[in-house]
Amino acid sequence: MLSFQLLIAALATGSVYALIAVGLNLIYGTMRLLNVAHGDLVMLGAYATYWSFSLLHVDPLIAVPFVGLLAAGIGAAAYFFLFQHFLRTGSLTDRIEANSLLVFFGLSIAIENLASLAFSGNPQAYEYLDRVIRIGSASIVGNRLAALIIALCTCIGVLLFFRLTTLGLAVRAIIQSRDAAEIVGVSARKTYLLTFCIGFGLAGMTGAVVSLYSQIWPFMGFSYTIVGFVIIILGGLGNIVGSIVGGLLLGVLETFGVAAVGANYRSILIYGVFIAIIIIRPQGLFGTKSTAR
Amino acid sequence: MSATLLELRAVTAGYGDVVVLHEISFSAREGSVTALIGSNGAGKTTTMRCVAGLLRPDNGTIAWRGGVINALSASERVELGISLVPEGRLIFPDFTVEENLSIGAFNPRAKPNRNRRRDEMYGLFPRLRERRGQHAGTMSGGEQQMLALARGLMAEPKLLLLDEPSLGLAPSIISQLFDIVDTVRRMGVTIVIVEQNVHRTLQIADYVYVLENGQIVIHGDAQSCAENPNIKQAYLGLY
Ligand SMILES: Nc1ncnc2c1ncn2[C@@H]1O[C@H](COP(=O)(O)OP(=O)(O)OP(=O)(O)O)[C@@H](O)[C@H]1O
Ligand SMILES: [Mg+2]
Repeated sequence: MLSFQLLIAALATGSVYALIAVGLNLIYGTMRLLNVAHGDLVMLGAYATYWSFSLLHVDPLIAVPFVGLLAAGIGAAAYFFLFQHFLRTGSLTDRIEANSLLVFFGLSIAIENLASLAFSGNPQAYEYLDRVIRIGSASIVGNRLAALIIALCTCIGVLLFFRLTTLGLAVRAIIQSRDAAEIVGVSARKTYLLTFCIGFGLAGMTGAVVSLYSQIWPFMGFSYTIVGFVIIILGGLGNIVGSIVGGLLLGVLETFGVAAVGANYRSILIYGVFIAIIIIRPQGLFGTKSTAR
Repeated sequence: MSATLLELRAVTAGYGDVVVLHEISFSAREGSVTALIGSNGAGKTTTMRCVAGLLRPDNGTIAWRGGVINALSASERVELGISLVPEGRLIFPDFTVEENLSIGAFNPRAKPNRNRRRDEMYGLFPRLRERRGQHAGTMSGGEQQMLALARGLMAEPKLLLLDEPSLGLAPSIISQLFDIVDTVRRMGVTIVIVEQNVHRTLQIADYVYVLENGQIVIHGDAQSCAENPNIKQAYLGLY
């Protein structure tokens, strides 16, 4: 059961899960906004990579950072046009959360339907690095390995950014208390904009990574949003490290669970983890009261 | 006489429909210590939040060196040199003591001197040096209060707003605190202080405002206030 092969597969799934969750949790942690359109950004990132490969012959690995930047730009636009006015006052938090959920939901539906009009509803895929690579006793398809490495390195990069840079410290300050951060000179508005860019950018990058090995279609986003949501509950709302560990953990649970009971139970496994956490440890595995508000 | 650094003119402010401050006017001169005293619920914290930029006045103006700053956010006011040590401390519980101090110097004026400044704070508050790696949320109330003060000073303020800095401190520490406030003012920092410890406050203050029900009812230099029978009776427990 505890084979090296399964562990590699778990890592391949888990690292991408972690990447999804980090972006989603960043926006949630700083602004208490649940971006239900996160998965749709993943979808757009996947299509951007697909088209640039099949039309312009751009190497997908080179496309990854550019797709991330493009998605970050969409994040900035979303902040300026849709959210800035909600976030201007900190006093109406409850109403902000309700309104923004609706805005994100509307955004999600609009993106999905426009995408299905523009790209057709048929699944697409491209062939890239599809040779099998052996690592010790395990084997993994090249594109899967590439996805694993990119996702893991990006997660580590994000982590280092939050640990080591002053800007990262500022974002973590805002996550703990907006007022406290403002009185030490951290601008909430600038931090929100930065967070939108990083969160959306990571979603776009995830899409580019996912497109390396998986079929893409306009309505693929929802399942990614759900997975991301389960992980941030698992790792703790607003807890970035928790999201990375939680993502890897869910990858392990899913891979070993599916190996044990069969692929038909994948959704049941994921929702099962979700419900178990909600009941047993609603603050998340690593959550403290302060990070869970 | 020194110039006016901060001036509030007929400031009205509150929370939602509740009006707390009714056309408050007061000013702080450069290099002075201005005390704001008043009973619980008088509006002292509300006034401090308005000055710091955490609360927008409904009416009236807040001026810094003569220029109106109503529209500036709290973080922009930190860049000007306004630093609040808030009631309830508002430290970052998940940060270590050291991280709390570092983020205190986030503004571009203070950032270049961050490490030197942090060492100075450790000199001023040896207890914080001992606890530098500890998460601030796990410190005692008094330690957190010291941390809040040290963090406020990290910003290299020109105007330091102290909202009940002695709250929760042991008596021996309180007298150290007032010594530190005195040291800070001698470094040229203008101070506005809200305190329940009126006796000690009147000793270090130059000018005093008394706030009742959101209005300034008495103001004058510290000496005349210390002799004012109403203040003696209401705040000093003397007859
Ligand atoms: N967030 C808030 N929402 C509504 N009312 C508030 C809020 N904060 C304070 N108030 C009200 O405003 C009034 C003034 O409060 P404030 O905190 O300014 O008083 P204070 O003078 O600082 O009192 P204390 O000495 O107890 O700290 C009080 O009546 C209080 O109930
Ligand atoms: Mg108060």
